[in-house]
This record gives sequence, C-alpha cells and structure tokens, in this order.
Amino acid sequence: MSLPLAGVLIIEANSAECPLALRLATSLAGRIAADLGADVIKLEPPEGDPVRRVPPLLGDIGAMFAFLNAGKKSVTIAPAEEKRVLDRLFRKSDVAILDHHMSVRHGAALLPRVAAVISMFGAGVPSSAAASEFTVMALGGLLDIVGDPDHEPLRLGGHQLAYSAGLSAYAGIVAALCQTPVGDRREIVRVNLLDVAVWLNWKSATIAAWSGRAPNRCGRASEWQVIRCADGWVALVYQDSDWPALQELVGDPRLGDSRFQTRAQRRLHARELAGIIEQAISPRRRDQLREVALTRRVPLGPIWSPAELERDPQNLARDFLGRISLGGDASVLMPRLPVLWDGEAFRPGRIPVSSESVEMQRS
Amino acid sequence: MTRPLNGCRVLDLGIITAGAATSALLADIGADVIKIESPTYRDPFRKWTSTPPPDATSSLPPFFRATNRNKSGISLDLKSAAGNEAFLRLVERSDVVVENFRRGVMPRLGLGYERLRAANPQIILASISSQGDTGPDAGYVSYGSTLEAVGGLAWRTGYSDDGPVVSGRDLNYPDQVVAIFAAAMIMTAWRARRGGSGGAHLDLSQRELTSFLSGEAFVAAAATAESPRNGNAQAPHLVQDCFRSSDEVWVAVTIDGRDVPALERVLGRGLETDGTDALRVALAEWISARDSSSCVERLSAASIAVAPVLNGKQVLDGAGRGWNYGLTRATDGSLVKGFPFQLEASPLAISCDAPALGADTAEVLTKIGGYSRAEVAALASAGVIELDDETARQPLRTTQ
Repeated sequence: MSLPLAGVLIIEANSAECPLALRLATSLAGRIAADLGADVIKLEPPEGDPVRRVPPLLGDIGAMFAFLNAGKKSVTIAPAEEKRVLDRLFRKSDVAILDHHMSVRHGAALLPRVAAVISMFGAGVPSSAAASEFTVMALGGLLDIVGDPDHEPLRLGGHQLAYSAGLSAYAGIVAALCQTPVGDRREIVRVNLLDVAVWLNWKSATIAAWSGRAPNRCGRASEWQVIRCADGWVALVYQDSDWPALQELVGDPRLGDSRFQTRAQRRLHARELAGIIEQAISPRRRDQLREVALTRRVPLGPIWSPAELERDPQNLARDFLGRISLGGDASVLMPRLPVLWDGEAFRPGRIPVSSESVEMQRS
Repeated sequence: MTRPLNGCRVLDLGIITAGAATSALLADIGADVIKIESPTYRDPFRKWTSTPPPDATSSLPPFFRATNRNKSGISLDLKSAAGNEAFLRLVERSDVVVENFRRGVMPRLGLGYERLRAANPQIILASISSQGDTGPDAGYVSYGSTLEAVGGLAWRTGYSDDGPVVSGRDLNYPDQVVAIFAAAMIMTAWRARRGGSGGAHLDLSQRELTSFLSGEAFVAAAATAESPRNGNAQAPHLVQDCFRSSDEVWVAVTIDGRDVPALERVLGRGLETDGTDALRVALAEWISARDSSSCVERLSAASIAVAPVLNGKQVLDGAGRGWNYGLTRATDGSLVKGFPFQLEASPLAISCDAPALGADTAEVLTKIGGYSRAEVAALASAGVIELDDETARQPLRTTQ
C-alpha cells in the first residue's frame, strides 16, 4: 500500500515560551501525519525539545517524547538561525504545525499553504495569560465531572486534553489539504485547548442548558463506576437494556429488589447497587469476567494496565502493540495508529533519539 | 464559499455519539451528509425522557439536535429487499458510508464492505466499533467507559493510593474523541482517493484510540514501576492540584520550578522545593484563607497557571471568554455541538438544524436515488420508507 500522505512535507516547531500542552498537541498531530506517510521535520533548539526530558525516562529519553515523535526527522537549529531556516523550510513545505507564539513571530505571509496554529485559549483571553493543560481542563468543566464529590475534582490520566487538541489539529490539517488550491490562498487551522475541552464536554453543557443544572462527579453514587474484583478492578458500565443480562451475570437475588427495577430507581440507589454487585463478583478474576461479559454481551470493563495489555488477546489478534528500537539493544512497546486501512496497519517509524544539525538541511 | 469537503456525499448510519458526531464534523467541513434511520429503528438519541424547559425552541431532543445539525435525514428500512436496493443505489452515488452498529449488523443486512464495493468501487466505508472489526473481542459489547477500562486509561486515572476511575456516563470520553479521529481518517482516505488510490475500508477501534491516547504509558510500561495513579500531580510540574478556597470553590493550580520566586512573592514567604510537601501545604493554606476570585487574580497576576473549577453551567456562562465555537447555536437559537477546530479561510458553520424523521426521504430518493415520485409513494405505502408529514400529505401518485 502506498501511504496516503506520501509526498506531503510538514514542519513542526514550537517557541521557547510554549506551554508543555502545546508542545504535546503539536507533536501528536505530527506523529499521526508521519505514520500516514508524510515527511515530518521536527525542529528543536540546541538543548532539545524539553519533552525529551519529561519523566518517566528510558535511559536519557522521555517515554512521552518517544511516543509523540516516532517516524519524524529531528533537526536542531540555533536561535540565531531560526528565522532564516524556518523561512526557507516553510517555502518548501506543504504544512506547518506551530504554537501561537511561533506563528506570530514568523508572520502569516511566510507560512506554507496550510498552517495549524495551536493555543491555550481562543478569543477573549489574552494570549499572554498563564495556563496549563490542567487549568484549561478546569475552565472547560472536565475536572468537575470526574472523581468523588468528597474529594477534589480529578483529571483524566495522561494528557487527554493536549492529545485531543493534537487530534483536532491533524483533522484540521487534512481538511485544509482536501481543499482544492485556489491561487496562493492560505488556510490557517486554529485549534485551542479550551474550545476542544468545551467540545468534548458538550453533554454536560447541554444538560445544564436544558435542565438548569449541570451534572457533577458522583463517586460511589455514579451510575457507571469502578468496583473491585478478585484480582483488581472492573468498570461497571451498562445501559437500561443491559440490565436483565447484567442481573443474570451477577447472579445475586438482591438485584431483583424493587429498588433496582427502573433506571431512575437504580440511579437513586447506585451506591447500594454497586456495593451488592461488588460483593457478588468479588471471587471472580478479571479474565473470568471478560469471558462471561463477552458471552452474555454485557459491557463490563476489566481494568488492565498498559503492561498487561501487551499480552491481551484482542491487541495480539490485531497486532496493535509492536516493539520498536530505542537504539542499541533497547526496545519499547509502541501503539500503532488506531486504524486498519483495508486490513493493513500503519507501522510507526523510528524514534529520533538524537537530532541532526541544520547543516544537513542546507544541502 | 467553497468548503474543503464540498462534493463529498456521506451516507450516515451513525448513531448516538461516536458515529453521528463523526458525520456531523464532516458536514461542518462541507460534506453533504444524509442521516439514514429506519421505520423500525431510530437513533437512540431521538429518545429523551425529561420534559422540555418552557423556553425550548425545538421539538427535537437536545442530544439528537446537538449531534445531527447540518445533516439531511431519511428513513429507509435496510432489512427489506426494496430498502436494501435503495440504499445500494445511494451508495453508487456517494463517497463515504459511516456506521457504528454492533459488529455483524452490516454483513447481516447484506451490506458488508464487499457488497458496498461491488456497488461502488470508490466507496469509503468507515466502520467505527468499540473493539475493532476483527479479533476475539470484536463482539464485546462496550460503551465509552468500558473502553477506558480495557484500553489502559482507567488504570492511570484516580486519586493517589486509591482505585482506578472512569470518566462516566455524562462525559463518556472515548465516545467523544473518536469522532475527531474518525473524521480525520475519512478525510485522509477521501484525499488519497482523489489522488487515485480508490475506495477503502477504515476499521476504526475506539479501544485502540483510547490506548493510543495513552501511548506514553505503553512506551514506559516495561521500564517503570511507578505508582500508576497520582491524583492531579503530574511530571514535570512541581505541584498540580485543586485547592479549596474560603468561598468553597475548587481552584486548579499548576506550579513549575520557574514559578517558585513569583509564588514566594505572592505568598510573602520563602518556600522549600526539595521534594517535601511544604510548597503544597503553604499554597493550600494560602488559598483556603482567600476567596477564589482573589486567588485567581493574584496568582495569574504573577503569571502562575490558575483557574476556578467550573461545571457545565458555568462553562456555558463563560462563552466568549477563551472559547467561542466548541458549542454553538443552531439556526433556531438552540445550543448544539460546535467544532473542535476552526478554519480561517473557509469557516465551519451551522447552516441547518437536525432533521425531523424522514424529512428528506422523498427528495433524496428522487434526486439522488433516481426514483420517480410514484415509486417513492409505493415504497412509502409498503412501509419501506417514511416521509415527513408534509410530503406524505401531498398527492405523490399523480405528479410525475
């Protein structure tokens, strides 16, 4: 299969003052494009992208850097050379992925035909305002809705908002590439973390607009929540129509109680209901629960760690996690792009463990 | 104004969020999206149990309206031979089919990829499923938070020294992100097809996307034995958490090493940063003694990342202050889903409201399917299609 983005040249670059979240978003958009066959050149300052040093470290390279930059070519430029090199590279390239400060510094006139510009906020907040991925999640309602009401609001693991912004940037870029070029018209793709957060959290705002009351985190009183089993945890997830099958799977006569017979009643008694189910399944292991959930078609989710998922039957069957070299004998687990295209996978490229100097680029 | 996906016709079998929101995003970028329901099956989002508020501007339920604006809508029974044939006729004249049924439904309808490709070799079929089209778990029933569990995200979400946590029913995170990724892959395939690559079958697994968005945890899996759940703390930040202010608002703060001198000035005291909890404790004390607006004002004046923790209602009240299009208004003024990005030269916009059931059946079948009005009337009386009330009242049989 010839790769769908073969022949597309993409430059990604971040300013020195760029918040971590925007580096991650920039890099994820570039990683997706690289897997799909684009030539992606990542520009780094002489001391390297700070993400290289974000723990956990594998030797001297951060796991997040390895994940986000597989398949790219890394090029180092000194600050004094930056403007000249970027102008030159932009002229030759199809797409630029930049944070807001970087795009302002270089001016729209010099950008390639498609440029994605990523910022923390959209209009209405000064671009100089200090913010982190976490504080933008707070403003987008993504913290308030997760966790336990008796404890502080909770972020989702990892960098879900920055990565969602990276997905959005890639989507915007490919949308712009679909546009038939008209003269020298340029398309700027705007992505900001707060609009992405609001977009992701649309249900909460829609419920609030409709009922006057926003949903909030309910902890042990949640309709969907995590409960214990013999060797770990399982997510208790079900819709109204799954209730009879769930009852059978759990096999505890207390579920037949009149307090649990409608969705409204189950929500009202969610804490007690989860307690009963937890007690009933406590002798069962996650692999047993997987088996029975599969046969009875109940959406229970055994909770697996990333290390355990390397040997997961579904991931093995779909060849989702491969190993790629970290230089020398070391290798790491690396998820491929989550799509099979006519049954074929896109293999992640090599990790740019070290950068090349810009001198190579001039030739 | 031309939009990037002008000329791309999408048959949208997507339901609830994952499928329907994917097609909605394609519509926002200029695709002609036809939502297909059936006389025997409606998008579950058409059901909404609570009473509408007195100022409701639309009779359609809010989740349905939010996710299906910018589409036309038809009702066609794919299980009947005549309905199946009508669908394939539309496939011949379309570019993309989006579906997120349970695995096996499309083949059982006689509408697997091979059949669609026989009707139109250029067709792009996007199959969005929870676990993927293949593998032992392909038939595993899952909703968004199931995938957080089996995809590795729940394992790394939670308070320190406590169990895993899922995003839950009101956020249902994996169902949201998949629409961005699936729409992006469909556009990638559409662009490649214009370059001569032909049609394609895109097998999109929501579980794999959930894992991919935790990619660094897989890369680090073998190398680290670190505690998987740390509450809100996160490397490389010195301190990151929510703290309760005197007016009982949670205030989210992220402190980096370089912020310490500024924080010392705001707090009016020296701070230890040698890995002890001193900085955190000092900040918690300082915030607990002040109201939230004063905390936010003083910390942000010192260029420290800070924000009040808002709920969905407060988020809405903040429209125009840092967000402008993540949610937007339909032409009737009701709140609908907006866009996760914006294009400057050809902006994404809402041009029509979500369709009533069967609103465009007659027009789509005649103009795109090539059916005569008499044939449409016959399909309607056979129960293969549903027409909107107005069309149904018109004397279709007599006008050719």
